[in-house]
Amino acid sequence: MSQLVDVKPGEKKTLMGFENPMIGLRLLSMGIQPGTEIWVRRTTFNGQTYYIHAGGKNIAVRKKEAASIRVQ
Amino acid sequence: MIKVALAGNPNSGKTTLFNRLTGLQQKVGNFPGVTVDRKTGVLNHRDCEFQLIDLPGTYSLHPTSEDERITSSILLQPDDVDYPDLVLYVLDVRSLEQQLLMLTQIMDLGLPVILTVTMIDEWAADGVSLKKERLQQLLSCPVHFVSGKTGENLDDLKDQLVDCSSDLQKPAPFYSLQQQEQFILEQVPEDLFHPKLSPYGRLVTIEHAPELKLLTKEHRDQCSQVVKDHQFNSIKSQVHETMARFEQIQPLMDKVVKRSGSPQSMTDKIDRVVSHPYIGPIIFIGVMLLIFQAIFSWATYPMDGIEWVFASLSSSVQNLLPDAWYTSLITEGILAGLGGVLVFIPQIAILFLLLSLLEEVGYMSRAVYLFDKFMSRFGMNGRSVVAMVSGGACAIPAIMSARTIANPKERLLTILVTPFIPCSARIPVYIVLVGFVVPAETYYGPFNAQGLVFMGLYVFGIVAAFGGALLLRPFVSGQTSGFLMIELPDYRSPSWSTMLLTVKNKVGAFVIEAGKIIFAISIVLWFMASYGPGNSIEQAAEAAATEAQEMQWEPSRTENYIAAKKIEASYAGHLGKWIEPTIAPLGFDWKIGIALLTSFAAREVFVGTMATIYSIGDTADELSVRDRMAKEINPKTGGPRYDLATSISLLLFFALAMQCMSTVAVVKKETNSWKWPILQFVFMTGLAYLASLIAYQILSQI
Repeated sequence: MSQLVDVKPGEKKTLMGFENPMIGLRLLSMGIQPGTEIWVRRTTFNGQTYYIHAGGKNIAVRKKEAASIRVQ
Repeated sequence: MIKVALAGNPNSGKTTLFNRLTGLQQKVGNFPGVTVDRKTGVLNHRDCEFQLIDLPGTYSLHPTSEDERITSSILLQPDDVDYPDLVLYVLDVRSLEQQLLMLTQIMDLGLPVILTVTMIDEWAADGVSLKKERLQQLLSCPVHFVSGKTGENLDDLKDQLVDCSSDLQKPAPFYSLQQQEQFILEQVPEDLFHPKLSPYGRLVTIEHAPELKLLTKEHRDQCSQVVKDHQFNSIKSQVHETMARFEQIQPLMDKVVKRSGSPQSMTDKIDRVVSHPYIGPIIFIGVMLLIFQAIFSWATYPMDGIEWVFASLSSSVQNLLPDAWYTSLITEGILAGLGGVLVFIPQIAILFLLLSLLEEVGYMSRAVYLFDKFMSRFGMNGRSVVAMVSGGACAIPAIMSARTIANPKERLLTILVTPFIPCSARIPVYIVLVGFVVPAETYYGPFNAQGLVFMGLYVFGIVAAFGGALLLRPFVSGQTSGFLMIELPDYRSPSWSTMLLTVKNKVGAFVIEAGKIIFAISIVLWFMASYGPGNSIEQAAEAAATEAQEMQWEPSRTENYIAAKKIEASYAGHLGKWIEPTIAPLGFDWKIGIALLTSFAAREVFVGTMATIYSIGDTADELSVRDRMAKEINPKTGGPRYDLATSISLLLFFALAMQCMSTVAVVKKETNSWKWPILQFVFMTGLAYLASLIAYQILSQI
């Protein structure tokens, strides 16, 4: 189990859960559920914002949000 | 009249459908207490009248951001003026199962629902097929396919609205409450809730009670108490509910949707460049410069046209009517005021045409992605960049563009600091003054010294804006976005009618709401410059005329001299003299004082007022004003009035002070209160005073 921040861009993972329930609720509401395929497409030049793909959607998240997403 | 609310996820094509249904019969206002666009419109079909409201796009009834709260608070409170009789739930088929989440929540509220699936043209190309009858049967609610863009099947939808409204049926509940949720519900007396609320609606009310403004305090306290007493984990319950809904939705979807091929490939290709870590920001800056160029230079042609029309109107009125007070009221008060309002229309129209194009194609959320970290350091949002760049042309449309920032604190900070960005109205003032700071033909290496000072003033304005944001941040209540988590929607072709409606709504709102304030201040400023205590103006004019006759001046010189003496004797002149002790430490005399007062109408008025005060006529250009000002002697020092210290002090004052009534008016409109424009005025002008004071006191010593 690792966090999304530790995953290299392009490496496909499975979403396992969320450390922060508020972040979890928000992503869940957007239809991003545990078990779905998730990966980082790219980050901004300073590495602080992540462009991720999950549940068929592209989503922008901050680094600390990516840190609370558990993947495998 | 039947109230219909359009609900759905962000980017679901909801607003396009709303525009299709209401056309030009729509109004844009604010939701009470917040400045989030409240779009309402009327639809008449087969003798039925519907009032439609476009609710802010949301993913779930459990809101995670402030604009999303509006939607749930309307749907949860039957006492709300916008509480609908019927919900038109709009979804875009490409992420069907995800968007069904909120549909099932709304059905559980007991609200009659019609499901509308948009973008049928796009998803056919993506290889998606959907069984309409099956979906209708499984969800047991009417389902409609429409194309928001071409209007295909729109009449069927209208027919359905009429049919449904005669027989409003509550849908069957979708989700069954858990034991614990049921238990919590039983702890709050049933009579506290509105009888229209379903059990699920009551549960959500308990979970979000602190945010629901229409509840009584007693009701809210009781809900919070129950949650506390029973250690009810509201977030956990919301997570559980959401997961349970998806578990129910998933098997249904397998029966109705077929997908072949992989969608989104186009978006991915574009984003490889447009959202690239290094190329992306460069493209963004390029796009912003293009917008800046558009409002800065393209808008000048229609603006010149509007000014020309009002100048000709004003001179024909002057020729037609006798030389009396009402002629001056019409020409210098009313016509000048109207012209001062209408002259902003080209800039507002061009900016919003371009911004809504970027919004429509899906580019704006990329800007948020690219600049989120940088701007959040200053308490602002990626979208604030757009407002600040536009502010380089004019703060009025720029401040209006801040409305797309969903978080109230981030929007307010953006509105408060955008006027620091040097706008085009400062340029004439800078042109006049910069010559007193450095002579025209000075070069440092290949650089023209005046050009460098100009650039310095721009950098100074930008630094002031970001610094101002840091200073003001603690005083603006509310929270900056706790998180980003925004969807980056697929790129799509824009809906031109939506763009044009945006322009129409923005221009209309500006003319009506900000226009009346600008107009009123113009009249006040006209009065102050044209009238004086008692008959002091007439006396001054007579004395000046006699003096001119003795000197045997030619008529135009006499006229200019009389105008100068008249403004000196006016209320503005008196006020200028009255504030002289206050502005003397900045190196300003009463003449500059008058110009500071009149340039509150707009910064560039400074040049015209200077021309009047120094009696060189109102046809004077910036250079002749500068020549005349250069000859002005400071009686105290015997040196030039506009020496280095005074000129720099005045430049700093114009760079920082809130010298623009139209900005004040538009901030009042956008924040929906007088508190923020007044605070902004005091902050900016105070900062300007301080900077000018320090600069003058230091520079005049050396």
